[in-house]
Amino acid sequence: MDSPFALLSLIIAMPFLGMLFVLTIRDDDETAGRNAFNVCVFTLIANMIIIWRIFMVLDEDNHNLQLLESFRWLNNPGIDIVLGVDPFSLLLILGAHIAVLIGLSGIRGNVFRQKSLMIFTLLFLSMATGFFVAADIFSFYIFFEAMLLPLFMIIGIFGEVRKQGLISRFFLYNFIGAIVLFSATMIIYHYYGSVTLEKVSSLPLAGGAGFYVWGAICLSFLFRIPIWPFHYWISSINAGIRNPLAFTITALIPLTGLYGFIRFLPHDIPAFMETYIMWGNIIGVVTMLFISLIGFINKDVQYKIFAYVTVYYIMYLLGIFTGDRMVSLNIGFSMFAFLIIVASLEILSSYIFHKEQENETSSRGFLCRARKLSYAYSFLVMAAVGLPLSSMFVNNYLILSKLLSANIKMGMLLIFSLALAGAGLLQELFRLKLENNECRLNKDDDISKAMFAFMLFIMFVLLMSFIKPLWFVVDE
Amino acid sequence: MQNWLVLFSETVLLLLYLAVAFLVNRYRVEKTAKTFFTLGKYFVSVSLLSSLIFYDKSVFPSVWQNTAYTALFKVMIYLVALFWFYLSSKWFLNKNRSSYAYYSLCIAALLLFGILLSARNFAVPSFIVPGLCLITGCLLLQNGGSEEGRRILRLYVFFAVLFCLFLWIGTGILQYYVGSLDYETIETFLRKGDFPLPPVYGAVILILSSLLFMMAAAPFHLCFVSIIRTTILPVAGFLTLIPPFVYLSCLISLMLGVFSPFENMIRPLLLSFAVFSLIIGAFSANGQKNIRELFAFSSVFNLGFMLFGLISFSNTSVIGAFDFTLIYILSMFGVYTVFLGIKSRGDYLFELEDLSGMAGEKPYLSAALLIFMVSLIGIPPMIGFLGRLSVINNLVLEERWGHMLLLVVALLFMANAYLQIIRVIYFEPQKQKFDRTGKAVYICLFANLLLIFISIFNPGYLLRDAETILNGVFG
Amino acid sequence: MPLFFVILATKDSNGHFLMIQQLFFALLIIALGSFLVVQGRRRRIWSVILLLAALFFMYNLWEALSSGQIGFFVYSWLPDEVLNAHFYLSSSLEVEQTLFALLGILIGLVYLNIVYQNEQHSLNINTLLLLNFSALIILVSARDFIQFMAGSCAFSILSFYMVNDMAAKSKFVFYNFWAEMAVFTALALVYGETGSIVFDDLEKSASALRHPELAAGLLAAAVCVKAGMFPFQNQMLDFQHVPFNRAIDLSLLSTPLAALFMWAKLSPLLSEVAYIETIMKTIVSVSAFWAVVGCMLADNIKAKTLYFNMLFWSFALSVVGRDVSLLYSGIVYLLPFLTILNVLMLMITVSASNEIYVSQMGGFCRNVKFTFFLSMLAVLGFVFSIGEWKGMCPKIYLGLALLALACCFNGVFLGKENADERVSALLGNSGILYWFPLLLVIAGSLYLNWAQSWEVYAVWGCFLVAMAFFPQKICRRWADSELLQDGDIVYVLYRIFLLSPLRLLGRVLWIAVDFVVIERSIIGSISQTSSLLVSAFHRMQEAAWLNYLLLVFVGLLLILINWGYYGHG
Repeated sequence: MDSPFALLSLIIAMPFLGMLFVLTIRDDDETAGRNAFNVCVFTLIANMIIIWRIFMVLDEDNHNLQLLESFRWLNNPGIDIVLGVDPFSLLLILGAHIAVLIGLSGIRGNVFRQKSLMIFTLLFLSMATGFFVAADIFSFYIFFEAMLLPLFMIIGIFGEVRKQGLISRFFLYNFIGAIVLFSATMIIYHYYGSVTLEKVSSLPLAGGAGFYVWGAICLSFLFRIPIWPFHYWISSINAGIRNPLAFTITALIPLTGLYGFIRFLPHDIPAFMETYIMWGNIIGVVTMLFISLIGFINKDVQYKIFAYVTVYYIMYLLGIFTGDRMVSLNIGFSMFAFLIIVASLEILSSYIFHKEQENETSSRGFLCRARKLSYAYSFLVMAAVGLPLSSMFVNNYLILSKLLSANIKMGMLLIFSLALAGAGLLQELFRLKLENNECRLNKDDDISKAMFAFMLFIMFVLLMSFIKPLWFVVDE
Repeated sequence: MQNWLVLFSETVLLLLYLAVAFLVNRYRVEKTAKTFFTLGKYFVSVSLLSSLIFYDKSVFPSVWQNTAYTALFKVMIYLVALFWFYLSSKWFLNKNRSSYAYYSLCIAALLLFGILLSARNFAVPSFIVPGLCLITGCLLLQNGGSEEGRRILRLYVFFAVLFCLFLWIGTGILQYYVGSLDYETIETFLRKGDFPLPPVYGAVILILSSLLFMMAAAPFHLCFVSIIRTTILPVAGFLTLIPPFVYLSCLISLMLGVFSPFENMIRPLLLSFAVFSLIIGAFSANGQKNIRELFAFSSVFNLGFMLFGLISFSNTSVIGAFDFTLIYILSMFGVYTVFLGIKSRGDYLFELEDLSGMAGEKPYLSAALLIFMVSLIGIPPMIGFLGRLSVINNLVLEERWGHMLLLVVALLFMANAYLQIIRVIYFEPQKQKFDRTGKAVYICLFANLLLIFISIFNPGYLLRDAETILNGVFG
Repeated sequence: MPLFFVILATKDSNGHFLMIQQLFFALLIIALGSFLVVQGRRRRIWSVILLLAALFFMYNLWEALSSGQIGFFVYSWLPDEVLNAHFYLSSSLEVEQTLFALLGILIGLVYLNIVYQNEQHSLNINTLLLLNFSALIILVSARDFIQFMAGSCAFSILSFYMVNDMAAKSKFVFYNFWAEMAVFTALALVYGETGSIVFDDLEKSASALRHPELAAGLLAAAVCVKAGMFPFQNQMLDFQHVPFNRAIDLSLLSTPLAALFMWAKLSPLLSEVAYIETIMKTIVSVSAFWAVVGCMLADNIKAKTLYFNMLFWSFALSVVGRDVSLLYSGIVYLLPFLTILNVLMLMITVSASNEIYVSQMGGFCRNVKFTFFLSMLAVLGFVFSIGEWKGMCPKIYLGLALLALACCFNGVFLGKENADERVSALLGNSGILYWFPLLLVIAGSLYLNWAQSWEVYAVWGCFLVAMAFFPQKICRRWADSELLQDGDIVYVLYRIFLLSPLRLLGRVLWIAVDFVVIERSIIGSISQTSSLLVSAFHRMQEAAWLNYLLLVFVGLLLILINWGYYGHG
């Protein structure tokens, strides 16, 4: 189904135009920062409205790519930019937008280079949107690599990463993945021309070319997912980031790897790949156990959140490896809530951390005095651990059922890791709720009413996603 | 009459400039640093126009012949030169120095480049190349005669003479065996195969070695790198931006024309130089404290990259190499424009640590540099990606997987070097105040960025016409 | 019109209100509306309104039961081809009868929360109780796993909010979190292997499971944790640190109840595995023994109450394990008497100016005669309720329960007076708001059930004798033992054998794998090699004659090699 109006191009262009608008704002520090922030929020909301409109136009029962748009980009080699979307990818786009909006709410009071942060955020969002709506291999690759730059800049400037070498390493790891994907893309293009994403998973690549191509593709996506040993760079970065927006954006990187697997993994997995997938499963489970364990013992909440994020992403990856299309759709629904929960948790944790720093006191027992914060934080932690407060509950159930039936031992270890990661978050919740007389924070340090209202809205969205996943879609 | 007009438009005009400039310098009292640019731009503009108008007209076709192909390259170098001269005038204004020598030498170099591009006889390069070396040496003297500058000059003169000797020896051998220095005659002779191979082939590769020296292909690159490091900024920019087109054109002409019978034998040599350029360029760029030196190695790296794609000398590889070079020059032009904007207390800054935290005070310059770095790394959808795409597409078409792997590894190291610059500018705290940047820099940057952005959305805008011409030549 | 109001106003063809969904949605609306009420000013009034609303619905339910009407409501929740989940608010007669009994307990607890002066947030706790009941309806009405798990989790979450002591809260949530994970895992396993989430299919699909032991084992463990069986009893016993009314609410209308329903609904799966029954029998026996001993040795009256409740739940589990139908027809009718006994314990503390240690009581029968009298009647009613049950198990339970009660009442009402001056001075029967409704209920139940066999009365007589002559000194000896009174051996063992090794393993893995293998070995070596190469290249290209000559020489060498190879044909 072709788009009568270039809606998909619009949702890519919108953040980009917003970025250009922000660029033109005069540098007057505080005012500029505030204006840039407002422009960013407005752009995001406008984009979300367009996405909502696209949902209405989309056929939810049709899992093929719809609303196709095609633009000739290069003549030699002949490359088109092809865009298309299905309910799954649109859900991820919406989830990413909401997550970034939540992240923005956490940096509202930020004065350090706010304009730069908004510029790179909008650029990243534009590229990420393009990534999710790309419908052929070249378009996919272009956006896959294009999002690296804003990511690098956000982490480098706002990530508060202590060791500078880490940032370069982060970029190079991702860059290697992108280059590897590029080489695979070129080979596919060489043999089959510009292939749409729907057909790429059924390409009859055999022999050495097939080995290299599938291997390169899998490797490039694995670079983005924090699976051992690729977890090291992302854990080093993530665990240190204190800017909630930067963390949220960094937490979206593994999503790109997962999405790539969903689109590219062959329907009929070649024989040689099955062994590697088996090893991938083993390493995935070991990584989950490992990371969840470290998250459990680590006292730093950032690492706990990172461990939680990692464990869930690997669970989704293992779900994708089962090759079941319905599992992939469930992953989309689950990830929608997952992204929102992670972003919300992050901004609240960051808020608590900054209060700690400002008042030079421990945050232990803070939630006893900050009621609004306590409600929001408790809800989010409980939703995070998998209680029926969001779409994660049902969809994780389906994913785990599939995994358990595929391999019971793997499934059990997986669930144990999930439980451990959840227990880590619960530990943090109770640390904050345990009464402590030494804590100098009081109810005046609670979140503002506006922030609480926003959190209530988020909780509403999560609850509604549990009650009816696509509740916001109004049939035309 | 018509033919002589052609000669007038290019060479006479440029020679005329030299004469007029000499007179102005000698007799005019009120002259500024901009005077010679003001003078030169008219001559260069007219030369540009006439090379377009008389693109297929030649004075001495057997020695020096204009075609659409040569016109394409001439247009490129004149355009780039024009903009670069404009920016260089700001440098001289800022330094309050006479620009007479600089513009005279550069325009003389342009003249020689133009002739070299159209050469159809080895007698031409035999005179042009030493001339270019001489001009380069004189340009080196513009740095005010520092100790290091003199040392570099001595080194350069030594090796320039050496390679000019190689050129002359090679030319001499060819003259001896072929009896002529004309390209067509030599090509016909080589195709027959009826000659003693060792000396003839030796002559060919001696000539090529001088071309490789002029191109600054590793391991013959050191002179180039040292010059870029020590000379003044306008000269560094000129030597980085203009010659690559010229030498690329020469290489293509030679390999597809006069040396085509030896193509299979020369290819491994070019490949080995390409590998060296890639590796040395990529590794040496890392850890550099001087950004000009870093970009000099970047030029070496990009040369290797381009050569990698070019060595099959097929239609697509030639077009790919041209695209790559064009895009590379566009990015480097932007980089050098930014260099002209970075000053502190009147001094242009070249140490990497001096640029710490520049983004805080110079956000637009930093953003522009960021875009150029990203383009050089080759991240899509920046224009540099198109260049990378052209080369790698070629490798895939020819199923040169090992080469692709090597390319990728070298690219990673080079990307790391570019990242250091981005890191220093954006992530480090600011250490010093920067001077106000002139309008000219912003104007040129804007034009450059506009071109880049248009090319992102419509690459054909930049490349279509050039590809059409090249296709027409080789298709 | 909004859906809620449509449902509330709808009647069926016989003119009766549609019970289940009305009850459910009404409870939800009232509870959620209570959150909007301004705190502080009128909370007790609003609590009374809640109570009246609950009474109204109880009356409606009574009417429905009398007319034999059964409600049915279904909402197609996830109409997915893979997972066809529905939201049921359906019932059978036995479910409605169960709900009626439980609604009575709910009303009693709501009333208790209103009148108990130590409860500062009665509106909050009552709201949570109403919501808890809604969660119970979801759980009881569930016909598929999704609704079932949602109800169970909702139960846990709401109970979590009812606990207002942090240490108790954290223990409660950790235990129940693992229990929910176990249920989740087991049901995911069932769905994964059978493709069905419906309880009706469980019986035939249970035999087709590839790993029935795992599923059954997980579920059994979850039930034991939720019910507070040994060794997971401490999550319930920690409720002795919350206000007494909340302890009662949490002990009676919380996770142990959910555990019973869980067991009942999943019994086809649990009975599939032979050894589950044996294990459960062992656990409930040990739990019963532990409960009795704990009840006797604990000094805190709240702890005694909680141990007593633990004894009841272990009995309930053993009964339901043998015959599921007894949950609906038997166990739920024991709950009111359990509630009465719990309330009586609370009344003792109210009478004693909130003194909670039995060792500081004694001889209260002289000053609180009426409470003592009520207690004896309550025990009689309790004996009546269980007296007619057949089998050894009820008899053993009755015996243990009476023993525990005898110990407890002996320590409180008989023997030497140990209360301090303040307590003694203020000692008196608790107010009319406490004893009057209790008297009505006890009297009413005794009146309705007085026609019992003589053995029942004899048992009660034995209780009175046991109470009179109970060797309280043996129990009082342990009153000061901190280990016995407050110790949590399970937690200590958990910390030593599970938590510490996990922490150590985590640290070792982080250091050994992340730091040594990846950072130092892989990344470090690549980084060092690269640095070495880079510095070598830099040194090689310094502006020195030698370097220039060397590099040019290398280039010329390449040319020479090429010439040598190709130039000679």
